Amino acid sequence: MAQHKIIFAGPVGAGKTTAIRSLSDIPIVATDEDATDMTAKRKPQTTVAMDYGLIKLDNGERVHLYGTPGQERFDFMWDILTEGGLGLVLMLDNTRTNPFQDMSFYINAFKDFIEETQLVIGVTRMDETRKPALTEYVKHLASFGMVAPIFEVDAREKRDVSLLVQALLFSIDPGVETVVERGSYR
Amino acid sequence: MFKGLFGKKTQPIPKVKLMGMNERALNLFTMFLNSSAKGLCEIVDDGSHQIVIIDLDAVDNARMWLDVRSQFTGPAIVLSVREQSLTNAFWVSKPVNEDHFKSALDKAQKALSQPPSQPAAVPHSPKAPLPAKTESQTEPIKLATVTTKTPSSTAEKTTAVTSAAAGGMNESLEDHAKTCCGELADEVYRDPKQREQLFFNSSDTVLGLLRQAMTLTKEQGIARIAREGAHPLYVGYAQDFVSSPMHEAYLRAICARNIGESPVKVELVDMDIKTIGASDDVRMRRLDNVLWKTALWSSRGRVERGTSLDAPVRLRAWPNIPRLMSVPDGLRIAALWVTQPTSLLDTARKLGVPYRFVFSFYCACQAFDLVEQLGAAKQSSSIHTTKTMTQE
Repeated sequence: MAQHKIIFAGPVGAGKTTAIRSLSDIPIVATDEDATDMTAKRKPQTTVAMDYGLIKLDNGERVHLYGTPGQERFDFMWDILTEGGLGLVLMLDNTRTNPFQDMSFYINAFKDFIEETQLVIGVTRMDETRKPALTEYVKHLASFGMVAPIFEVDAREKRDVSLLVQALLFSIDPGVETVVERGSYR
Repeated sequence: MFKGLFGKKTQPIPKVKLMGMNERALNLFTMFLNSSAKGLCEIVDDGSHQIVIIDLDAVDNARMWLDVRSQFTGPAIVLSVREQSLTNAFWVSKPVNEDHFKSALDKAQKALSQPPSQPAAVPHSPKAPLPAKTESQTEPIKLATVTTKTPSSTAEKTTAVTSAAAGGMNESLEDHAKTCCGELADEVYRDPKQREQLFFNSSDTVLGLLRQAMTLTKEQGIARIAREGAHPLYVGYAQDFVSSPMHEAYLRAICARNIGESPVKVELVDMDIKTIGASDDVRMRRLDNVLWKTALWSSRGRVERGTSLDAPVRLRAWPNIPRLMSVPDGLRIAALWVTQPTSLLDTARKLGVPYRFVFSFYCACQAFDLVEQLGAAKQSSSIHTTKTMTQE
């Protein structure tokens, strides 16, 4: 039975825990603690070790969802959590002062992992502010020489997060059929 | 989420069952039915329900819908952000609008008094649908298939997923595919003699008008697209604005027409956004969404004349798929074009999807200037007259 692992990363309050909760078929395992530093200005509790959720597929396969802590002081967890991962879901908050700085930071922080796997980006809270637009995220990502799915998402909406994860999985394997029949691919 | 008040009830209170909602949504909707919509229906969970109300947007709910339809042939009210054309089901767009809900409930109640509808029947020998086609239609549960690494097992799995209750759903799924991608059969794409049918001139369609209006308002201002006696469409590209009194269905209808038959004016107007106001139809309020849909409905499985069918297609950037009308297999097509630029014809063959999905998706992406054909001659200028508006 195949086991897959996907990592959710991003700054504090970008919606990583919420996204995992939206997708998970089990109650998520969270390591939330009361925020005591600047994080408390954005939300009362924050992830300190990891979040864990699970998608049970019909064929018995499992997709394990791991959320990294947003705060950099817990970055020692990032390498641990990415071990064996299929790809990275980077959640960015459009209301933050400089979301491009966040993007650059996480792309650099997970550079080795992304190079070996796949990246998708979900931008949250675009309903609160339309600027910067997704086109600008696309341009910023292009400055890293990368093309990846960048979607506007509501982390509370299962469909949104599901599409993000599907885009990641299809980017790894679009499902090209290989059986040759009557001279053409079928 | 659920706003407004309802009028007085005029019919016997039907018993409804709520399905496909998480705890939060269930609480909200129950609150809605117990306050604003009080007395319109009675929530039951003892199997005595006459109508099912189901939220179709959650990831597993396409499967749930199949299960519902295999056991319950009565009327259903489906809640979704996307238009749904399902047999004996009445769509209510989200966020739920009181009038739409009441209207759907009225229709469901009328359906109650009629004999069970035929389409719910499951055919004994369903035509072997293309696996990918079926897969695409059950998009919310696609996750189950995409992680399967081997394409052949994906196909097997997809078939298995739908075999239980494919009947009534299949018909509706075909309706959905027609809605976004037209009806051209694969044979037309394979037959060089019929190739003419695969092309259209966007300048003869609403898509061309929309592009024209976007070009006019590239820097500032509002353009009005109008034909005498018809609903106008206001576009302000720089302001990321679109508004119209027309309903989405009307837009879809005019997308199918050749505008050359009735002159349409596209002109700058001295009006501001506040004066014009928002569209009544919530589905007509995002410019990116309107452009995407207009491209799909104008394309209907065709591409702009001059497009090469053999040159590899490369996707420069992904469309903002969660906020755009879904195209069956759009995610797979996009992923292929990013990772392995592939021609339009080969894309359909390689992915095992109907050609019209590929052609429609290409046309929609082209409207946003997201695609390019490698090694192909530059296409007509009208294609790229607008600056990239990937996901604004």
